[in-house]
Amino acid sequence: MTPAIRSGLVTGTLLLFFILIGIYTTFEALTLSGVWLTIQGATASEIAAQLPTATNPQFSRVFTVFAALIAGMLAARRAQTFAAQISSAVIANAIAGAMVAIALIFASALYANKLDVSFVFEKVKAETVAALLFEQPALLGGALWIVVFAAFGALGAALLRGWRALAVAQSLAASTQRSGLTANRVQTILLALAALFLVIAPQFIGVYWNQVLGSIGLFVLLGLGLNIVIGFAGLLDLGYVGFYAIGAYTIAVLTSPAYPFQWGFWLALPVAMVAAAIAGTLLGIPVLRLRGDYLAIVTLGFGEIIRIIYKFNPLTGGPQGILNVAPPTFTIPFVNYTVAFNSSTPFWYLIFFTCIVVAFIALRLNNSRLGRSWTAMREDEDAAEAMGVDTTRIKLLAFGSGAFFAGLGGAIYASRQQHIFPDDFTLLVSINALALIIIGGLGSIPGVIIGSIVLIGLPEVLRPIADYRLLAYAALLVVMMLVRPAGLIPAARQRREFRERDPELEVLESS
Amino acid sequence: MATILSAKGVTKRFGGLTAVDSVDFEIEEGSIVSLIGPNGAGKTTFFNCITGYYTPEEGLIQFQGKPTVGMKMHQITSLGIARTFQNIRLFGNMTALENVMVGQHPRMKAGVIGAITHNKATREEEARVTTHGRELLRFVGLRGKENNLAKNLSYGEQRRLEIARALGTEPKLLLLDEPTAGMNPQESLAMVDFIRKVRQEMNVTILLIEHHMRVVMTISERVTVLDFGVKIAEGSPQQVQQNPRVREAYLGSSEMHI
Repeated sequence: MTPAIRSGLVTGTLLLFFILIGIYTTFEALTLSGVWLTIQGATASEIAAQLPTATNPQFSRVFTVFAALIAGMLAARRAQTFAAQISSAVIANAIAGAMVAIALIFASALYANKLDVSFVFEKVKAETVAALLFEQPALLGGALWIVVFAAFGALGAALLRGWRALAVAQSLAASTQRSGLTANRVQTILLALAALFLVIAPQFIGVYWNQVLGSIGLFVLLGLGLNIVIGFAGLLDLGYVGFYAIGAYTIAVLTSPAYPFQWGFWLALPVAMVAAAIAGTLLGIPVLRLRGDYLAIVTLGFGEIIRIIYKFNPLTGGPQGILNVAPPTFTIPFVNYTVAFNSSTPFWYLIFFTCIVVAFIALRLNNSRLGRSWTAMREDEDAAEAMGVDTTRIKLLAFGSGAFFAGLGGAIYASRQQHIFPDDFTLLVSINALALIIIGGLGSIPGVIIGSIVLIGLPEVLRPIADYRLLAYAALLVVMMLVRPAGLIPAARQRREFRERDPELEVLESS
Repeated sequence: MATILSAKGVTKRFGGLTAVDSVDFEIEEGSIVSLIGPNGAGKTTFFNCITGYYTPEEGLIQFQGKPTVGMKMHQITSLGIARTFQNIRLFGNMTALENVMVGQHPRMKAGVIGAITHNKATREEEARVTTHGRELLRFVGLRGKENNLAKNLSYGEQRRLEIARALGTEPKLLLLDEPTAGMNPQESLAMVDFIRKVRQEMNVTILLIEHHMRVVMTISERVTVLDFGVKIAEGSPQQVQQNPRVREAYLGSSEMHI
């Protein structure tokens, strides 16, 4: 029973922490109509003008229920039998609930004696305590906390059980050819629907979400390229943003009226991509002998060097960057209709199309002689070399092709923004790209897409909870890595690696 | 018979230590030759000089008349020298079939363009390599294990998969680094039979490093003994067995334990 108690203490401490930093206070100010207005793109002052400022317990209660469900799942995940799962979830959550209840009862007793708790704990106001106690007398409210939290913990444990059973059923179904085919068909239909949505939706969702979709797409591009270097070839490259910058700056210099060239976008695009690929290959040469963490540090340095060269070079505008990057012009042949690239919608279509092409190329590369030798090199470089694989060549190919796609992403980025600054290309971009491919599933192409939706899209969706969105987001990343270390959609190879290490699943499958 | 590999005066130093000290060595085409010696005698270092993992400071190595010193490992593999490793080094998270397909890498042509366009030549090559990979797995007795991850195979299976992977490179000379390490006597004898079968059916010359004396004495046509990087004896198994210097190197006395 010790793990259950420990889990309960951790949950209780976390909840108290959340209460103290004022998540509940924030939630009380939230209303459904407010969220809806935010999604439609209204600013904070507009919302404040439209909505009365009344406190509203619905969201904080939803948050409590969610916390209880997740805590229940986490407490139950190690237990074997159903009864043990339920009981450890109930025990853990009752302890967590009791901790919160004691603190709340104590706080409300202090308030009852005219002692202002919020003098020390700014966010724990009298109304907050009352709302947290379900507007009941303190003791009854505390008891309700324990009961509600334990009950939803049990539900969480049951959900976990159901979810695992479903996963086993799915993998069993996938192992038989027939149902595997149907699963494929379902997948194709879902993919087609998603594609259709992505083609039609930009017409309706407004400027803001178009911009968000475009950013997600650009990170998909970056992720697909970095996935070749890290996921396929196993070379931990943290300077990836450098090639993104080279693509962006090349197209900016070639098309901006501040320079004598003033080429068109389509002419400058291949030059930008090739320039990035050449830079990627050249920077690959000195790091050929480095592996793992050493490689990461050196490439990190390269990425910073590229940014700083752009920042202090007057030829590239120094810290002010380059303005007026030309957008593409595109005339549909035969009907002579010119697409104006003057909003984020046409850029979204360009990015969407590019993502599909790049994903296709990455898929083909992975399922080839080259992809196989990349995997072999990732597994054991010496053994791969001893099997006749020219590891020097395929390493440079990985660096070069990764940089090629980064250059493509950078070029589109520059022309979409129409202005670029050296500080658009900080280490954080590399880290984001790395995080999204790890969260999606290293080496997995659908994983890159999902990872980028989660990592780039989620902070936008979380905007209604304002200050806490990055906290929630960071917590989500931690939970993700604990619960699904192989990523959201692991590559087939990774799935095998992790599946075979999961004895529980094997026991369930054999029964 | 022709000489397939010859080494003259090969010397490899690590700082002040001379791991291999002007060793002369020859292998007849089609033979099975053993390299033995106490721990630290420089056997694996000599192996690594042949395969190009190390570049010897002095000396000449010729494979089928071509000098190989200074070539890279993958170039030497393409010439027709393949190896296995003392501590098995398979691509653990790849399937058995994929491992053998990586082995066939030097006998394939597809490049980046072929990979992206997936043209007819590439498709045919993939099909050929897959079929040949399955044949090799069947040959080493791993039929039905094609889609198992290499790391999940048993120890003996991993040893045989390593040989299948090396055979994928279509070698003329196969170097086996302690193929029976960690095996019991029955398994070792099965491995001896298997190595003979490989020589016969795959038409390769075999050089092996071995510690099990029983294996060395049954399988080898010639034996070379190294001690502290120096070649101290050479000849048929019987000759080597009776050589007093060999007995001394192994036991510090004139009793040799077999």
